[in-house]
Amino acid sequence: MKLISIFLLATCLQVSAETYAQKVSLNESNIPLQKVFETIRKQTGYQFFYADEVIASAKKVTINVKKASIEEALDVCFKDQQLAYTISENTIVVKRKIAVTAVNDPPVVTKTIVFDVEVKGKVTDEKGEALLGVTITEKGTKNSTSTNADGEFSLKTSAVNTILLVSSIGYTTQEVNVDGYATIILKAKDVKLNEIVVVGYGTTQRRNLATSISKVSDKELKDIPITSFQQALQGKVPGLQITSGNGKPGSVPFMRLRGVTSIGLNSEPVYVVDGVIVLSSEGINTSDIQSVEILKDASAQIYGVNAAAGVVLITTKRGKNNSAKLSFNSTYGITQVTKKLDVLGTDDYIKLINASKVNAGAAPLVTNTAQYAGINTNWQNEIYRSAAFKNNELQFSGGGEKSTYFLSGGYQTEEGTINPAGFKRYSVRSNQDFTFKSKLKIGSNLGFIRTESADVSDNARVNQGGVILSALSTPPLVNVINPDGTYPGNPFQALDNPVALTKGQLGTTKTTRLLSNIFAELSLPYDIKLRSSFGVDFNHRRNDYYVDPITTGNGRANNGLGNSNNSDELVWILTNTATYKKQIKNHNFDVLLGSESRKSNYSSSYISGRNFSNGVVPTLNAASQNTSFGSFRSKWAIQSFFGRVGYNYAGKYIAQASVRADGTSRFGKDKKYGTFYSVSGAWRISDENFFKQIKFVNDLKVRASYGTTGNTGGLGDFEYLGSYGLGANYPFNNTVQPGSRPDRILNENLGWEETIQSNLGVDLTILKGKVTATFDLFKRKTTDLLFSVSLPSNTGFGSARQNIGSMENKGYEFSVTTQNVQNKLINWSTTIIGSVSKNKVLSLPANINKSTFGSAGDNNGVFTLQEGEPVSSFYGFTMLGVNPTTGDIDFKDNSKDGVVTADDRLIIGNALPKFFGSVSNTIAIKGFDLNFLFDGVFGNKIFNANRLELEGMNDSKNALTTTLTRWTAPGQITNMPRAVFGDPNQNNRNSTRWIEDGSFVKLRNVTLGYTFSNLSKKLPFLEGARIYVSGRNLVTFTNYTGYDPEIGRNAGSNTEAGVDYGTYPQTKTYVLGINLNF
Amino acid sequence: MRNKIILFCTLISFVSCKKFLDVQPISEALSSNYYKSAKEAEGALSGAYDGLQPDSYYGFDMSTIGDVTSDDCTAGGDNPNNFQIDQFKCNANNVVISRFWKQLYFSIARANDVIDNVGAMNASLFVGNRQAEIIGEAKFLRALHYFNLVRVYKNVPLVLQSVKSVSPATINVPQAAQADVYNAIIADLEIAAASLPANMEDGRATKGAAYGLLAKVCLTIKNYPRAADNAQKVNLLSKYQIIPNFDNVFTVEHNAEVMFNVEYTGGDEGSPLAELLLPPPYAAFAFLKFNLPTVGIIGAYAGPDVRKATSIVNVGGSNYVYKWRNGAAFASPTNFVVLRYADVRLIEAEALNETGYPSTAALIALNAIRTRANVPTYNFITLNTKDLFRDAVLNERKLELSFEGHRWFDLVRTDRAVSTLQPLAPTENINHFTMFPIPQAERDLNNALAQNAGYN
Repeated sequence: MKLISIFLLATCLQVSAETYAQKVSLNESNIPLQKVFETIRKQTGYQFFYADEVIASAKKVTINVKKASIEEALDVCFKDQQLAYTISENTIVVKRKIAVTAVNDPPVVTKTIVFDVEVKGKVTDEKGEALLGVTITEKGTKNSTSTNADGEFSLKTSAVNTILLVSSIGYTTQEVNVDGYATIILKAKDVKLNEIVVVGYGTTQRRNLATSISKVSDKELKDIPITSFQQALQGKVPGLQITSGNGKPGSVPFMRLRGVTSIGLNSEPVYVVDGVIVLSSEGINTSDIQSVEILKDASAQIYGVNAAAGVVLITTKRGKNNSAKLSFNSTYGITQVTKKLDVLGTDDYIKLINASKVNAGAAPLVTNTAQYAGINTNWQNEIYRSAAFKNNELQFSGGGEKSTYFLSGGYQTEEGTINPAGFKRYSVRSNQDFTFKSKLKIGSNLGFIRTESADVSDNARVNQGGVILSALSTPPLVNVINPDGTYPGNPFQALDNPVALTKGQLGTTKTTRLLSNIFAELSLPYDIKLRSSFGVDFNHRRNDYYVDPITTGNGRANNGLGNSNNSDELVWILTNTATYKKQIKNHNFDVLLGSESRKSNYSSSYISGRNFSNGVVPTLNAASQNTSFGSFRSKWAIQSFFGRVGYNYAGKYIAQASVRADGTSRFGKDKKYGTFYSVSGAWRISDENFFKQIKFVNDLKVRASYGTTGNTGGLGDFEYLGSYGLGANYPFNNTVQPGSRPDRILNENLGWEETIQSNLGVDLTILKGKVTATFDLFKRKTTDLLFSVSLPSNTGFGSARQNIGSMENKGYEFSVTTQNVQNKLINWSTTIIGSVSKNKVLSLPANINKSTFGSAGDNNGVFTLQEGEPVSSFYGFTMLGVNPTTGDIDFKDNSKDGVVTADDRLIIGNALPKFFGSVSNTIAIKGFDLNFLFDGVFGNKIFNANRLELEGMNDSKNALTTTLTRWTAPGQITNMPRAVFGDPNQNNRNSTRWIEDGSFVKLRNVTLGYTFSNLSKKLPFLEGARIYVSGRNLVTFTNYTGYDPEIGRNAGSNTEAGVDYGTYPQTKTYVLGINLNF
Repeated sequence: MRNKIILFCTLISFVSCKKFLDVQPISEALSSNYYKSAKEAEGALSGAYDGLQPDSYYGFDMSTIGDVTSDDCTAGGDNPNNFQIDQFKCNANNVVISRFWKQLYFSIARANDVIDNVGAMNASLFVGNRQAEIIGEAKFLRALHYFNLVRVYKNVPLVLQSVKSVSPATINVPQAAQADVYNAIIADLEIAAASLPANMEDGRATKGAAYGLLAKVCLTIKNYPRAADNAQKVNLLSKYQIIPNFDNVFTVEHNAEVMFNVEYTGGDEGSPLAELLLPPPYAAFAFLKFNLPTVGIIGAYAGPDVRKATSIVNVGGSNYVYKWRNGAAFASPTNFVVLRYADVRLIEAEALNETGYPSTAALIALNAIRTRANVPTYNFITLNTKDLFRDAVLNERKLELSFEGHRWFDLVRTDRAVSTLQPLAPTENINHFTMFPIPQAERDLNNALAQNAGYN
């Protein structure tokens, strides 16, 4: 039996006592009976109950009554009908006349139907996220309710089987036929505004955000040939600068969100995986990631410790209820260096080094040129190669009624462009959710990651084994290999050639990581939810290094050399939160309270030995001499309490406040705790009535936030304590005695570094979503900077950690996305993002202000720190030109005291970019999809210290071809000074000579894919298939003369960025990929 | 109800809140809890001795400064920094000169720390006279460091207390008058001589070492009577001898001539010196070797002089310094002799000659060295003036102590540096022959430091 009832619910005001006395006035002819009922309800407040089919055959009514009683009016209506009515209190039940006779007490029966039927359900968005505050209305009535924080609702209706109207702001309203229980998926009207954004300890809809949070979803992370997810974020997040450290396989890039927030501590953001704060993002398989959210302003504050530089929230994939899906993804490709540098050939090299010696008053180095005839080795060609890139992944996800699962396995290998560099990763992930008796949800996230990588020594000069500088500076007059299989070295410096360095030494790193947590979520009455999560981040790292006793000079000298280091760190984290989410009409409340405890247990050990029995066994059991050994252990702990209150009125007025107290073991007893807070608010102007006329604006919201965060990231475990270092041993009577040395000065005043940040933002959607834009203006001021202050040696200490001075970053960032074409054939969208930020050191103690530090090759004091200037400022002399008479460089007498002295040094450039941004396009035409992204960095300077080695002309290393224009005779006008061994004039001192513009634009990613349609007809087991080609770093536009303007040495440093010194060159990668779904 | 739930929820971590954050180091010793036992005092003292070993001190740079700056050695090798030193073109950014300063002050700080703290310990913690001995050893080391500093840089800050806090007063320490530095050195050595026994474990400072160094310090400041007096106090100990075989001075560790040496045992406690000076087969690496003997020093050894074969070796047609012979890939177990009896005998000869010519005792001391070297002895007929005698002693020092890091200091203290070295680099500023610049890196951090004359 299909019985559909409509319950006409009077409004509150109408259901007041006085309305019963009201009379009915009606003057209608030939109208449906329902219409009459409706009018009577409005006039009297009486409610009508009836079954549809009961009145389906009812005749139309003509009625003309004035101030009639309800019975009089109804009598007119029912006069010719096969219907009867009964009145009970303020309810009118309509029945067939037969039915009335069949039921003894019709009103009671009808009431049973009305009040005892409960329909239940759950409302989610398209991604399966529960939606709060969705209005559920029984169709045609005012009988309604709204969903709770779990998206669940229950509504008492007149029948089990009924039609519900499901509506929520920003979603398309749906009519759902419900039979007892329904799972309802609402489709978003505007995807962007309704996307669920993961925030600290919870989620919210983008429309309700008052803070600056960027989200990158899995679709934007896929296809790109990378080994760490940060590489996929390059150019995709306003304000986030991501710099690839080097071209080594598996290398993890550096992230700087809105500039450098600290001087002496980390400026890396905090990483949170599935709600658990972790030590690093290392090893996480990009394909396992569902979304990455970046908390950019005071919104990060809720994560407390170290969140000053932002928080990166990584959410891994989960299964969906009642589904099963298997997918396979495979990519194969090649990697190459982006550029090679031009160095001198044998003839030019001999001329150079002879001139260098002669100019220094010494004898020429090479007099018998005949012995080198026919040898002209290009070392770069010898060491760089095309390398393979492979990735295979299998994902299995799904779920039943009460549980979901996601299982994945990945195997990735990347060979280095220099043998033997390489990277392998094995990753397994298992995420599970179980619902227990509807009130309790239990789940687990387990990620196991194993990486194995082989290293090539870089960022070091040739005599320290740096392969890159060796390839550039080893003379071309040496053969790669001798006929007897040995490798000849540089004859003038007895340094190994780069091929010998790559073959004769091997450094490997193996990491094992377990990232896991289990959680339980209990729903209590009054919309309170408790969540408890226990997580473990376990990291084991093992480094092995071996120099065989045959290939290299170092190996032969030591008769083999090896060392082995092991370290492991286990961090456990317990998080307990209580949340309360409630919607009362247009008022939305959201309260969070929580506590968090973290503790780390670290240990490491190392051993090194030499004098190996043979060249075959590389492990230390073959070494006959232990040269050093040791072990180390440490601990730290953090305890936090936090709370947050959010309120919004109809999504129009949004406000939030949060506070967090963090205690850390890294400070003395009076300085352990720091309390940080934030407030934010937003106003959706477009929802105001006065704004509704402006039709082309669909959404306009202004936001503001202000807050403080603390930072200890990178601080040693016990830097506030004075300590003695051990291992300063000394032999007496030929027996080594243990020794100690003063290592650190006690500083009990050491305390939190604090960042105060404010943000002003605008979110705009116009032209029916064709254009969306976000603009943010920010300011960050960091005070009490925890800086490792260099001390003069007369103190006996190299440096001391102190809270000194302050620094600020100001800037703005924007993002504009346009839907250029959107039709059935073509879908084309463009995103432009840009970021501008300016760093300034505000105050420093007198003895730190204008101090110099940092090195590049043999040059020290490369950087300075000065009030009013940005960090990472290069310091040195101003090169005027090459003196035509002497061939030496004239430097400018900036102090105008008549002599060039150390006082003439100035800031000669800065490594921080003035602007960075990107342009990306996504074009889909039928089955084809094309994505490409250009990103660029502008206005930064690079200290090209490779040229220090390769244009220094002060020793017997090979040089760049630029040295061919060097000064050779008096009167010669050139920019390249004379070659002179020992460089008596210090032509190679820190000066503008080495500073270059580091601006560049790169074609960062380009992917072309094709998705097969109708495959399932031929291959019924296959649900979908896609093939694609993808490239990375294919083109670079720059004036920089080194390998690549994206440089890594010290890029992780706040104050010493931008020095290019023998870094493993960046690479470009091309791959072919296939994706199959079953 | 709600409050109770929240309370319960957060209580789990509230409970042991204070204790939870009270984490103490495991692998470090805290300064607040150090110097509580004699063993810790000994450890700190070992650490102070450890400050002698690095390549930025007796491991290499002391030889570069003492010999490459002189007429006896050229830089060799392929390091522009050493080349600058050889050419008297050293600048304030020179890496050798910067790290040497740093190493010496770090070593001084270790000695200061021992002196300050051990003196404050309860005497009952020590056996016998050990507390005073430890302080004496540390003072000897501190005196040696300052002696080297003041001779190399002339104008140096005098820090005699361990630095406990970072304040402008402890950072911006101005340079002290040279006389004050020498007075502090002498004061330390006198205490060391008084408190140290004549015989100690190999490697430790002794009474004899303190007298010997004091003689050398006094000679440097031209206090000849006091130099002679202290040299003779060494003689009176009857502990040291000019051992018959010159080669054994360098091949036999802890021989009777050694008064103070830097101990090396190889491995972590090894010296890089021999590897830097000698080619294979004496060393492991074949790179361009450092501190090459000049034609002048090679020719200065007369025919029968046994010292030449001990001091210089010819490998493949090139001459190399040969006093340390076991390269061991930068980890040589061979000790570096800082002070030996032959040096003190020559100090005695020189000082006595200055206080009164002719001095028979001076002649005996000088001839003791000549005899062992198998070269003709002198007499007052051949050395018939005070000046000739002085020249003879200085020449003997050059031959006897070659490459041991003394030559340049001898030239400077006898005011012969300019006349001897200027011909090698006629255009250089005259100050470059007698002192090194104050490192720019230090001047950038300590604003009270003035640059030496002749440098910028």
